[in-house]
Amino acid sequence: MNKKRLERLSVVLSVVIVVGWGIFWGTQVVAVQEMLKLAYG
Amino acid sequence: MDLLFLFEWIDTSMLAELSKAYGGVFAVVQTFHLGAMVLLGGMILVGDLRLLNIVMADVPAHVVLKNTERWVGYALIVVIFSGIFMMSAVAIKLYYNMFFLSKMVGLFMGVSFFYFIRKPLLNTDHSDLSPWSIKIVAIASILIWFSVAASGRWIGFS
Amino acid sequence: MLNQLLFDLALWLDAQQWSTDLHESYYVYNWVESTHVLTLMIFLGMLVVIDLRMLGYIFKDVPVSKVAERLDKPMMFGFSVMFVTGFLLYYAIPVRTTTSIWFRIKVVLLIAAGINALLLRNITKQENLSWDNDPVPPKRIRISAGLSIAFWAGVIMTGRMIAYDWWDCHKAMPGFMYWAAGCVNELAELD
Repeated sequence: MNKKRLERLSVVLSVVIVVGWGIFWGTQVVAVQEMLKLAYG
Repeated sequence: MDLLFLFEWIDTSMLAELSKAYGGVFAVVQTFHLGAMVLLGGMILVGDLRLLNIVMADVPAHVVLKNTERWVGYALIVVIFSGIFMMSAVAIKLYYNMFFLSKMVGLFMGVSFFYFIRKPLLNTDHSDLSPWSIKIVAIASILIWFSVAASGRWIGFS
Repeated sequence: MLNQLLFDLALWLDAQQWSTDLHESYYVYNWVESTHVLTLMIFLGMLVVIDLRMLGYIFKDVPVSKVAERLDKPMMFGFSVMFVTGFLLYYAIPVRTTTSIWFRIKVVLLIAAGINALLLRNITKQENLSWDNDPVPPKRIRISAGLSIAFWAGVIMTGRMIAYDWWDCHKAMPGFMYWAAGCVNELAELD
């Protein structure tokens, strides 16, 4: 693969990873808050 | 695709007999797992922080990456083998553990990203790359490996 | 005598409400613990790069002082976080930790690692670093760097072992071990 194409692919993948990471851990934090609410009201 | 058979197979293997019977051996293997995690995380971080111009800014980035990449490989070997051993002790429990799944997905992504993206793209001269491309790759790399380690720690709590 | 003193200190910490709250909070305690473990990668991750450079295994074409200086800040940042979270972990479970043989070995290894680091620092200052650019530094530097890795590996190992209860005070073990672990009251940790 030539370098320009690899660079473009890398950027797209990286953005997907950053967004996906935010969603995954974001929902974990929400889950934590839910459980805290359940536990302590 | 149900992978339960794989976990059942490991659960009844010779390896599992060893890892379940000797708590001391398990603990020592776990220490190696942690040590290799330090090596892996440290080498990845030094590389990524260099790409973000946070550390070693006066050493060319591709030199930093070339030097650290070899050690990532060594650390991965230790992490994976010690991980399989540890996994064999509690295989069935891990099959149902969400954080184990997220760790394995993260590890797969991390290794693929490392060998197919970060390494081929960045261990030669960077002058023909946009600085933003380099930075976003570094951030993605840090986030993936953070997820792997954090999920791993959380397996023990859940 | 010293054992009794440390034990009393632990009891005093244990009686505080914050200590109990921290121990009993599932999420706060576990996040403090996770932060402590994950920060290993920042603190010891940087340290191991510096030590490997001093052993002549990595960054052979970059001066030793450059590697050490450039990684010093993130390393000390990691150390600070580890120190604070480590203290909190001790504060949450003071009695059991004080009478843990693993914790005691860990503290000894930490002190050893600290002394080794100071000695290494003095050597590097005195010599004005004639070997700064050498791919492989002189033998005594390599010994010190190797010791550093060994001490810290020991710290990781003993730190991990604190969680195991094989040699807790209420278990049967040789008299020497009771003394070394500082078991003043065998049942205190079960209260």
